[in-house]
Amino acid sequence: MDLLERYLQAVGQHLATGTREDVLAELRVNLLAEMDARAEEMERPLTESEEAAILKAHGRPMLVAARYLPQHYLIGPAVFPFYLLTLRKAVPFVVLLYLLARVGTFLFSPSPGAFAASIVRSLVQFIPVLLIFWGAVTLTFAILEFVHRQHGEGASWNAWDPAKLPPLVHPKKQKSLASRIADLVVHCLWMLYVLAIPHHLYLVLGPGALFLTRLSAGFAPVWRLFYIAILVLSLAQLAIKLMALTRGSDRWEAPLALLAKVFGAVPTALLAFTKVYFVPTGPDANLHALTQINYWMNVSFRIVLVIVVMDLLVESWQYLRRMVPAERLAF
Amino acid sequence: MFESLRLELRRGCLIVAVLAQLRQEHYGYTLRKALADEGLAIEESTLYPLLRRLETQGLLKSEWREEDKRNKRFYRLSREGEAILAQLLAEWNGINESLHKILKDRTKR
Repeated sequence: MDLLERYLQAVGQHLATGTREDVLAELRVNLLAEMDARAEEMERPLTESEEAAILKAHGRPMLVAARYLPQHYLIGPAVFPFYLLTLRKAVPFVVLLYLLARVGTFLFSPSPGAFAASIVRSLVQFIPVLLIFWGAVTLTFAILEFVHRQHGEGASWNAWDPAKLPPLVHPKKQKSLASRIADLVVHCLWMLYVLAIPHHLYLVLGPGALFLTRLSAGFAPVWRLFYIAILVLSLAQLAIKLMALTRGSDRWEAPLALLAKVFGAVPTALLAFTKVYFVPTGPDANLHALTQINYWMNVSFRIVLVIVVMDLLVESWQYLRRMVPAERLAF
Repeated sequence: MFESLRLELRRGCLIVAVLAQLRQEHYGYTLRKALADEGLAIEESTLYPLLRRLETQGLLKSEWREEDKRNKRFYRLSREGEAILAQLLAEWNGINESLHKILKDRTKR
């Protein structure tokens, strides 16, 4: 019986004070009855190991006690789907707002090295932002759950109007062959234009070429790199457009388009990390004007890079949502 | 998979069985034995807290009484419990009939 008392003591440690004695008294009687019945079956008193087997079958003290405690939950099953939906819908906006907030730092960071460090810092600092957001949403829904429980079954959770359902989304049709050929022709023309640029600078700058000459300024070496990157990208796009003419290529269309966008961001990044776009070509160059032009071009390219990266993130997210089953993306 | 579905299926039935069995007075151990004798074995750690919960909900009433030189807590169906049991049994019979009908239709096909 010593074992039974030790067991009851262990259970009692996890019970609520108000009901402890009552629960333990009832448990003692039931377990004793069980032991008596077993002893009667065996026609002899139980050994300690037989008593232990009965107690073991009854369950671990902490778990047994837990079943006597009132069940607590922060967000119940009626409110939980709305909680999950809010989190899923709001997280992209939190990411967007955070990105926008960081753009300022990015635009005026002193050097690419510092910029890279600030990206890492931003990512690390995003973790507490996300945790605070999650905490705030959870707290809000816990309060709603409390109010919901206090005021009974609130009909408001189930109030909805079928007429307000979003319109039916039709699956995107594949481009017609004529449209894909036209696309290819336009791209070939674009490539001819790109190839002609080194020999005919006015194709890029137009009358602005005259302004450069007046400033006694010329292109910095970065433009050569940029030109090669654009050429490689255009060739890759040409290959994609040629592939698009073949049958069954539509399943590769989305991932290839996404890949092209990723490569498309490279030339923009190249320009955003560069500080000098125009260099003086003569002793009478207006250095002050050149510095101003280089500075503002750098700011512009950084803004463009932010837009390109954000667009890339949105596209990647949409692609993942289409490709990965919804339940695997749910958080 | 089967085990979790089986538990889910049993959960509601157990409450009906306990309420039905407590039309006669029992204390924890004898109730468990009576249910087991009818083919519905329930773990002690499930049954005893369930009795308290049902009592809190007003479906059972209990009293401490001495029997065989031991103080025992006896449970019995309350008036409210009787009404709820009748409703639950009607619901259970309805489900049972529908299920039989569905299974019969399927056997015919």
